[in-house]
Amino acid sequence: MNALLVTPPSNTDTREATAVARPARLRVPALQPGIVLAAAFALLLLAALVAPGLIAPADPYAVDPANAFQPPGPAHLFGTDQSGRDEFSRILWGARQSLWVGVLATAIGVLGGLVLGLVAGLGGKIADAVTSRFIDVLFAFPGLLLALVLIVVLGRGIGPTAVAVGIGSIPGYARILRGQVLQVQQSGYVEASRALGWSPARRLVATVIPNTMRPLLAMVTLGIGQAVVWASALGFLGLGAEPPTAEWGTMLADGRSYIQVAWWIAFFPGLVITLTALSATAIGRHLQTRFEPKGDR
Amino acid sequence: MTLQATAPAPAAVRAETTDSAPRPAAGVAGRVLGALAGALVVLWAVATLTFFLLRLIPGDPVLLILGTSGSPSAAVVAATRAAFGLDQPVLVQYLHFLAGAAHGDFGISYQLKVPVTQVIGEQLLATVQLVILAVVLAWALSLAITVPTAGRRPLVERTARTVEIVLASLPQFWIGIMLLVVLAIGLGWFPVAGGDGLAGLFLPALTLAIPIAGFLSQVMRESFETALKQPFVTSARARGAGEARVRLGHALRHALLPGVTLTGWAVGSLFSGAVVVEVIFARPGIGRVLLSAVLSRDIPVVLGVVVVIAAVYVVVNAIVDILYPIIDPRLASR
Amino acid sequence: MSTLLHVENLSISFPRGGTPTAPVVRDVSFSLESGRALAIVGESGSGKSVIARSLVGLSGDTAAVSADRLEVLGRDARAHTQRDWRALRGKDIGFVLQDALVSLDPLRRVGDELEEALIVHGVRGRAERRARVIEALTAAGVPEPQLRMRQRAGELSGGLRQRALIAQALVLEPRIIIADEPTTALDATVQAQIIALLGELKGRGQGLIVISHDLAVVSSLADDVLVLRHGEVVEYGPARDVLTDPQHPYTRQLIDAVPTAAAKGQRLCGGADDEPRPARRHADAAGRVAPALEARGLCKSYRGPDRVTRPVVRDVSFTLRAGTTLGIVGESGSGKSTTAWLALGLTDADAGEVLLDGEPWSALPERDRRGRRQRIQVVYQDPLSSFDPRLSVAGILDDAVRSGESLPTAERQVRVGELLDAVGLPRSVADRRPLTLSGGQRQRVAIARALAPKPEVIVLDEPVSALDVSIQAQVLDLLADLQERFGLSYLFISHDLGVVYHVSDDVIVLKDGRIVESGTADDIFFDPQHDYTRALLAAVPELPHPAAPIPVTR
Repeated sequence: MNALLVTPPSNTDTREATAVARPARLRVPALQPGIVLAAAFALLLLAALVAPGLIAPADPYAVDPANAFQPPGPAHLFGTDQSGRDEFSRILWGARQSLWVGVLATAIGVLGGLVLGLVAGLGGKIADAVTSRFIDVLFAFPGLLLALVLIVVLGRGIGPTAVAVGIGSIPGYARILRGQVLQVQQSGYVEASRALGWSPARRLVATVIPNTMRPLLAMVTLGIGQAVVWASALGFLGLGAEPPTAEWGTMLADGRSYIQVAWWIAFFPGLVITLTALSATAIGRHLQTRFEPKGDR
Repeated sequence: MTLQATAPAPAAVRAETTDSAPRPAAGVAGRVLGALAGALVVLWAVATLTFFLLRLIPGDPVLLILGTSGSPSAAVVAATRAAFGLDQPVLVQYLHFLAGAAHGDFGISYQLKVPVTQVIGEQLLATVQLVILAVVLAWALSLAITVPTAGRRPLVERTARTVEIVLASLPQFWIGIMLLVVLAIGLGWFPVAGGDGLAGLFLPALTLAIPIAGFLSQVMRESFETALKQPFVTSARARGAGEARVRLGHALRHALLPGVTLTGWAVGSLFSGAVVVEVIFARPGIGRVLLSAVLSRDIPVVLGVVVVIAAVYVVVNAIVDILYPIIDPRLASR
Repeated sequence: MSTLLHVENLSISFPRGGTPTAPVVRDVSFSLESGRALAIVGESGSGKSVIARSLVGLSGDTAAVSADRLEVLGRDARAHTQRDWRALRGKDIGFVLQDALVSLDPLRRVGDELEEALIVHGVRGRAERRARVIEALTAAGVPEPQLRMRQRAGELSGGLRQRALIAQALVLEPRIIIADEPTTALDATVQAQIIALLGELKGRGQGLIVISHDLAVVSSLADDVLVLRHGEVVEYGPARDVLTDPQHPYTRQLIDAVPTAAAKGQRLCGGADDEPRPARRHADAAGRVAPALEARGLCKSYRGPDRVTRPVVRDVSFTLRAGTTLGIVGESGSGKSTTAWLALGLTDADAGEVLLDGEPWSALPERDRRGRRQRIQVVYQDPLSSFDPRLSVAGILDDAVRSGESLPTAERQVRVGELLDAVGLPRSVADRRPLTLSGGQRQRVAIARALAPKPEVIVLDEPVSALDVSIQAQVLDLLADLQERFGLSYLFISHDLGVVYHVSDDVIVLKDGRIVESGTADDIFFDPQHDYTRALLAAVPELPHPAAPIPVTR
């Protein structure tokens, strides 16, 4: 899934802008409880990323067969797995793997998307035609397909997963950024800067590029959530981290074997992945509305 | 996809030229031919890109065919190399692959040692059924969420929006398992694994449908609400049209446009999303074929599945392009 | 004659979350008789559209509507449920909105839109309904109704579209027609036709309520006029009285704000008691050297999406004398905006050339033009889209100042302050974003930006078309002051003849990309030679003005 593709189009209500002298009210959304929760969860993840050892109550790799399959309770918040390892601690340590993959993949995707998008949007007609065609071709590897093909080449593991997911997300970013470049270039304010006698280079640096980058922060936030889900999917399919490593997708896959005796082993990693995606979406949407208020342009 | 912003003339000039007479429609036949030609080019590019990507795998492909156990004799290696055509120059191999692919022949599987076409052919129908049901369920779900709630009181609307975001954020590998635990194992409403006919198909399809429904609802709600705020809706109300007529007769049609576009993209990603679902529900299908091929680096199978999925994607989007002017007649005359 | 509508002390508010808010409409009373037309006039935010909608029960779920009397066709409508209203809508009250391009469903055929009213109100039989659709289209003056009913709004011309929209309200022959800004966004000639059509309805005994921001437009149609301001009735009475002998200063102000022949060379925003004073002397061409801007034989064609090349500007020549204003008038599609773009050198002409201050301009390569762009600046109709959304007002002006000359930061700040003063904006505006400003304020920022690089020529492309009449008057006054103060030359582009006459020394009239007539403003307006110019002038709505013995048209 690519959440970036379905971001609601910015509502360009030109009548609002042209019809009357109504003072437009800036609709900055108030801090809703949803966004506060999302931010709190994101902070928790960040803490787990930086110092899992400080929060985690137990060693994520300490095998204790006597304590296997303990249900969630005061001793083990999320229960224990088949080897008696503390699920809660494993999830906290797993944040390191899963989030790093998400961040790295998003960085690769955004950089690749930026290069393609800028070449298409700024390079002139021929460059645009060629690049757009290339983006179309990448889109014909829908969903996880491009990542799966890359895993065949790169082999399994955390690093290859990040690269594969990152490259797999390039076409989505590229298409959005190309559209953004074109929209900005045709905007009235770029025309206005031309009328002021700015050189093409100055227009590019002072107006076109910064305005193209405006939605980037929101895109990156949305993208990290998506990349975490993709990477976890690869982990779930057994293409990610090697078994003892605490990684959410792999843990979920492990838990599947014991689903009838110990539901929590699969439940909690999945819950955390979902909450990560959810809070990334909530924060990303919030950033979108904050930096691109409706009635803009 | 057709939604691209391309309008080179300055805004003021465009405004002045839009009143010009609409040109006669290019004709359905012309549109179909154009769409098909574009589709073929993309497909060729996908096949070529994948072919050369897979050449980057380190090591000798013959060893992948023969497996890692033992060390095969030089004669066996040479014979296998010749049998799979790997002794020829890359370019010849490529042309050979293209010629075969054009006839639906993707060579012999490294692992199964049977024609790739046969492997895919046996499994394709199961995935097609799954994807079709998933698309139907996704549309049903998102219409049920969007149509009654769009443009309603803030509380209703905010709730519906939250539901949509949650649906869109649910990873398939997790909801699949949870649905299985609760509905199949816990309540026994559906078969746990395999299962014939619709009963066995329903949970996997629902799993695929849920996140798609979330995305679909989001884009449809956006246009639904935009449409509801348009003056033509006020006009309809002012001539006495009731709420149901306004929603179903006017606003819905406007909301279908982005929904159809998104579906074209979703069908493709459902085919690759099927990997996860087929693993969870232990169903046959090309997703499982792809996964085992990826795990064992069975190059001809990977190539074959990629081309088939890309073909599905490209064809569905070509159909969407052709159908689009029927839903939006404004495009037909442009 | 019977009373169709009777409204007493209508108040409407939009309470939020149970807390009452200030009403947007307060204690409004009026009545409508059959065969008469009532015009409800007010600027944006006056509550006029809210009133119109409340008369058909469409003011929305969140509206709190109260009235001492609200009678529709003699029945009390105060307790009407949505079901009751639905039975009324279309059948007893027809509703016409502005701009059929968005007021008819763009995906549906015109005929289906009309037929919907019949279906909703239970008219049986497809053939019967079709016949009535054709009848309504014919009554609204749509030629070839059988063909038109199969087309969609987007395929019709502006005038036909609006007629179809009116037909849509007529199809059940309601006794009351409410038209909300029925002619806004239409060309002057089309506007006149639509007003005439609405007049015919009145003749057939239907009662008409016309909502408008434009006193002049409704003056020929209305029997009674109700002037609204901030949701309250300022003045209500027979049209003749209200328009020629307004009792309230606000009505007076609205009438004065309309640029007419009599007001030429005078300020539009004087108080009621102020002596009109000349805003500027008419500039004299004698003794000037080169024209500020000169165009010779400009031609420009564009290739449409269908690959057919259409000429947009054909052989256009004009001279803008230094320190004067040249008006370019034309309806939509006349090529006036393209002409502006050619003059600015933002688009290259296919043939012909533009001289700036007697020196080559369009002939220069862009690289050489860039250094001189500061000398010719532009103000757009929609200023908001011309502002970089990342920047505050100060940032926008600072960019423009820097384009003119390189100054140290402190001096640039001083300049920004001076520019704000020059366009009459408080300095506190500097830190705000244009999005939070009103339309008039935004246009002032745009003018300040155009002034920043100290230009000689400013191209004004429909600079006041999106503004309320009183704001328009202020902006026109400001432009006149600035011209006087800085010796600017204006190329003023507008579809509004009244505005063009008011501001221009010379005028050219464009039609289909060609100049059909050119001359001094007085020549064009009082002695038009070309049929098209005469038709344009005839279509200009005329305001019976007590202080205007000479109307714009004859």
